[in-house]
Amino acid sequence: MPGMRVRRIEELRRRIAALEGRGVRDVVVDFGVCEIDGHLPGGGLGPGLVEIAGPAATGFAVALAARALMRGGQLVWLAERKRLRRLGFPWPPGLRWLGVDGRRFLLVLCREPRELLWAAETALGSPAVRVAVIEGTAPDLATGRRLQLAAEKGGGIGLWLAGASTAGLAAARLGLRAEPLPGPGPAWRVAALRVRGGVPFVAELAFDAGSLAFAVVSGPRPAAAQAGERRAG
Amino acid sequence: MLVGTNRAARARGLVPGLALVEARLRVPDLVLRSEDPGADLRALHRIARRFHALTPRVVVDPPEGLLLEVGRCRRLFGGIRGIVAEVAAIVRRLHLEARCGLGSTPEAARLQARFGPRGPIPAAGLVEDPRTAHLLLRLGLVQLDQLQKLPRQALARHLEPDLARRLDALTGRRPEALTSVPEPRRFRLHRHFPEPVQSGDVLLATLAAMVAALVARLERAGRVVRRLRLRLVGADGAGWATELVPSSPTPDPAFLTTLLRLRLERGGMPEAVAAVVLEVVRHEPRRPHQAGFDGREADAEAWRRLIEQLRARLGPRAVRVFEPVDDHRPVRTVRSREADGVPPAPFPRPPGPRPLRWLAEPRPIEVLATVPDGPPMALRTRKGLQRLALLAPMERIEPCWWRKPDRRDVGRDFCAVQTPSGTRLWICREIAADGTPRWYLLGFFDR
Repeated sequence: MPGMRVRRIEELRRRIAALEGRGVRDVVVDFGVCEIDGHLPGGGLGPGLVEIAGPAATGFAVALAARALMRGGQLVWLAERKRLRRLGFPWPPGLRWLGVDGRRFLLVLCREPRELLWAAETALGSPAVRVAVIEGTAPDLATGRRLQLAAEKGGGIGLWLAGASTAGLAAARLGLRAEPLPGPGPAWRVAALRVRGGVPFVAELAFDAGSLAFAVVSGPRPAAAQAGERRAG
Repeated sequence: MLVGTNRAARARGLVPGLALVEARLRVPDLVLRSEDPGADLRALHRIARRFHALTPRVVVDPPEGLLLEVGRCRRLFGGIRGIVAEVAAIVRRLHLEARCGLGSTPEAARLQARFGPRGPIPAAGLVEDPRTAHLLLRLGLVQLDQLQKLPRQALARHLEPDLARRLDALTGRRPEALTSVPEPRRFRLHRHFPEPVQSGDVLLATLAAMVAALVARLERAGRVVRRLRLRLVGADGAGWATELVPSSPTPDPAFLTTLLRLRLERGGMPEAVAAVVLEVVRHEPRRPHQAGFDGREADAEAWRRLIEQLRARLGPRAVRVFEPVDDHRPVRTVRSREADGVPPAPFPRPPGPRPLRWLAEPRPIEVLATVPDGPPMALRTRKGLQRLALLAPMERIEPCWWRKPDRRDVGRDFCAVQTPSGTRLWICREIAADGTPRWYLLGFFDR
């Protein structure tokens, strides 16, 4: 009897997901940890836009990208040249340190926001791109929706690095915030502040670059669902 | 007897008609070649093919002339002056000397070339036989229009039979039938717009049709596009050209049109376009498609297309991949290059932690260490002194002893450190010439 109830709950979950318009589609990347994946609708991150903010946004984004690339495909990094000159260029040895081989990495340098948005839409729409890391000023809702549609068509995930800008990416289904944790290896406090179809949570995760696996240090705990909230839990 | 001389010979006084003995006397180190009309004709044909760049109708006019029909393609080169300049350029490149003449009929052009702009063409120019020329002089027929007024049969009977025909050819009354040199198989199309076009849509529609026609033509010949050249001529006659090199040799017309559109969007083309020339500059035989077209092949194709589109719109320098470099110095282990469809080599795992962000310019920072060459202890920031924790053992990198000492190549210590708030940084210490340690921030691990 409990087995039947679990199965019925699964069936209901699938039907609700189908009614939401997302359907039973591929998960592009999951955390590999059932406690975290259970908090995400669909059991992971599907094709679309994810906004990542916070002081450790880049590190966490690359860890997610490394996991996503396990299923094949390529990583495209899109940014304005001026911004990279100021903040620093993505460095292949660093990518390799987190488990992303430089062979599957393409860097696209744009001169202005319009070029960046066009390039992001083109890259996300290509089926060969599994992950696109995009840095820049967040677009408005209409453009964000176009990017979301392009990602759904191409089957890839777009990780938008929000940086210091506080204006959120409204079209993204998931908004995350990552802060670094003291410790030797890569470890972050990750807060999911805006989860469409789920509950916001916060957790401390460590990442092993060799096996491309996350390990839960603590959490997940429910978090206050504010886009501007700094501290959670 | 000499039949032909070059400019250097003429400068020394040698002219056609001079006896060989005389010639050798005047110029002892004369280089002689025996006359070979067959070889001359073949050479003339080869030269004729060079002029196919200007016009499809090139006629060989032995013994040493070429007729080019330029009426229809004048606009592509910016008018008559442009054509004449192009002809002069080709002649210069071939290291030849040539006289150029323009006329509304081939015979008129021939005469212009022979007698040049030095004045009106004498009637004797039309005849080949010197005795007839002499006879014309005796009859007082000096000007061409005097010949025109005479009845044709009289000309044929008393002077030369050919003269009447040539006169008619000159005026255009009875045009000559000329065979042009067959053009080598060229895949080129051009279109003129009756009014200069400013709308991008019209231009793109024309380009799409031209691309489709060219690809179809190539396919019939069993070949595929390797390099495409587009030339636009503005309303003011200015030309603008660009080239497209698709990385995969089996592009379909729709994709080629997309690439052209992206290239035009990048900018630089004239505002009002009067003519378009699209040419397949390089093509290669079509290779049969591999059997077993699986998903990975499709993905590789999609990847190549994406790179092509990004390169076309943003410029080739904006789309980059990275290659590993075998160097013991951590900062030199990477080289970036333009993405061209060739996958880069795999990266080895670095011996120590490496940051994700690489600062283009190392930032000098103030770091305190208990011992001058010991580990870093604290970092001075805007918020004050922050304690540093080492994430991994320091890496000591010595300069290249096998090379001459370089001012920039000094021994450095690389450290991955962490502040109490968790920020991870990559810093390095170098010992300056005066012995003091200097610390620099090279990159961030998480930011």
